[in-house]
Amino acid sequence: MLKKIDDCRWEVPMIGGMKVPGIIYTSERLLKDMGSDESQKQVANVAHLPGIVKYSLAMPDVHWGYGFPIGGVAAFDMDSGIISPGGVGYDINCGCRLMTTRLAYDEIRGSIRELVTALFQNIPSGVGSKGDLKLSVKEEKKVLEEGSAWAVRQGFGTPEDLETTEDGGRMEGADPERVSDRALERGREQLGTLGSGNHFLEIEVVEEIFDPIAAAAFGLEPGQVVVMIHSGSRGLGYQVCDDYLARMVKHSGELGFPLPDRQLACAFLQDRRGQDYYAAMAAAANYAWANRQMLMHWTRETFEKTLRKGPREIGMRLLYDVCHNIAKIETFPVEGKEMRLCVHRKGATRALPPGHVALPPTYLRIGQPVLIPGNMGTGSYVLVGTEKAYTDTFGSACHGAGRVMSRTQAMKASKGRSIHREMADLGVTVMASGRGTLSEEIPAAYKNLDEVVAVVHRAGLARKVARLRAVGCIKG
Amino acid sequence: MVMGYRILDHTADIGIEVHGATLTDLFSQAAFALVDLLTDRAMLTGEAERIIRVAGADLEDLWINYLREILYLFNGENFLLKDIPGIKFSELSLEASLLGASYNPRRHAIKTEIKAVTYHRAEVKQTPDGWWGVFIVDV
Repeated sequence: MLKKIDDCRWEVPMIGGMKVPGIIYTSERLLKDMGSDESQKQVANVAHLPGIVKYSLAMPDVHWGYGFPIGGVAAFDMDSGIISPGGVGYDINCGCRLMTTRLAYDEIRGSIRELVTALFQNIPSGVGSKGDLKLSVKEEKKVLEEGSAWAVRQGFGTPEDLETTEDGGRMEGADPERVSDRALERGREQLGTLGSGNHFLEIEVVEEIFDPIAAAAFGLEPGQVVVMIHSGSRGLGYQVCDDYLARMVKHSGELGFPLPDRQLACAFLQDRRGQDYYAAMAAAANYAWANRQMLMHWTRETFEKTLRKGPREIGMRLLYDVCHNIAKIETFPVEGKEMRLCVHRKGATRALPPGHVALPPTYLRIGQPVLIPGNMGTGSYVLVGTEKAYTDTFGSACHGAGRVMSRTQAMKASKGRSIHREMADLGVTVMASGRGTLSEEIPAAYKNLDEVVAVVHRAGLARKVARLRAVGCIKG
Repeated sequence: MVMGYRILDHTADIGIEVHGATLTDLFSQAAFALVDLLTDRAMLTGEAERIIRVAGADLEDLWINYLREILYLFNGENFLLKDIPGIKFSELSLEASLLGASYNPRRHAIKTEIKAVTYHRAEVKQTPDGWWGVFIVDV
């Protein structure tokens, strides 16, 4: 049912109750990976929702989610449109932050193992991992209101870190009173924890520069040591999504249209239920930013202690922090007019062009850094936002590689193999707390990251700036 | 009629297909499947008791809300389910008495973090030889 538009885009034609067509950014090669995957159907399902503008989009790392596909982008009219917890995902403001250092890989090559061990000790990770602090509910609500700024106020980092965080690490409109007691309880002990599954903290080396001007603006140079953190809002975010989905499913009969899938449950943006969810989601997003801010702070401390160097010598600077599971009120051109929209990005990264008002002054002339984490051992990419993404994809690009193997398939594929050893052979020191994590996260379980990024680059949604190679990794 | 469950392949998540001779069997097996994903249920003791009451808009909604509650007991209250002595159904609600253990990281290894039980493709139906249901968890 897919219709090829050009080498990077395939159309899901409008049929039945679809209000707009779907567009999948992909390539012939990646299309084969999609195989029996249901993601095309999910792209079509999203196109049924009221107030959807232009098209239902999927990025090249798209894979089968629940309700909305993972890698999906959809924007809704503020007056007639909806907001959907399933269009954001359970891990609200799951995202990435990348820190640069003044260290060259050659200098610290011999210390990677020691660094990974120390990071693994200092950064709580794993299933249901708990942090060192148990917040009072009163303090937790401040985290939900203030985001990264709360963490900085507690001494976790510096005010400069906020400048290079999306939205300054604080989303407007957050209301802790819209977050349930259950979510608050789950969040109290998990602030400052990495989590499990595909979340990680990785020491990487700048391997290749594609765009020297953008790389210089971002402070990247070949052979430099950088650190990538991939984590989100932990149990608090999962609970917020779960609470509001249940509430919206319960009232889905009042929407006045049939849902193609219950997981697409939603509420109108003008309706109280929709606004409550937005306020709770923004609070969870702030929790995630405070979380990554703390993880970064402990990474800085661990580098200093392990390498016995001062903060100046290490110079760990936040290049950028960007979220890839979120719904945001943003302005984009629709039929020649600027329009305020509720943009859902579920497994898609914001990618803003040069000159955009939301950019920090340092990147205003070059565009927004777009951070694309690979999975364990494959390294990551840094890209830069473009005008094309602004006009064509509501300022969005891909968010990672995207799974091709189910977890069971990956477990089977890695049976009898020492994944630790294989990773070491690839030059990556890995430590993980979960028994199955390494097997489930083998590189072959994911799409080829180079191919995913190549499509985004060719389609002009974001330009390649640098490729990063993993040398050390901690996982939950 | 084979009672029990099997794991279905789903790219990003885990799907579970469940069979039961009765609705009580079906709901019990589904909860056991969920806990088996989390931990080794054979290692659990059953000294702690809980009673949960859940309602739904229809049978599928009840099915998912019930499983969401079982998952919350672990995620929010550190309760790991061992056994279900009984489930009382009435129209579109249920009351289940549960036996289980308080989660102890030293004694119980957690295999997978389950973020949520989703409504995606949730289904419950009566078959010629009992009950059949499907649910998908986000991991």
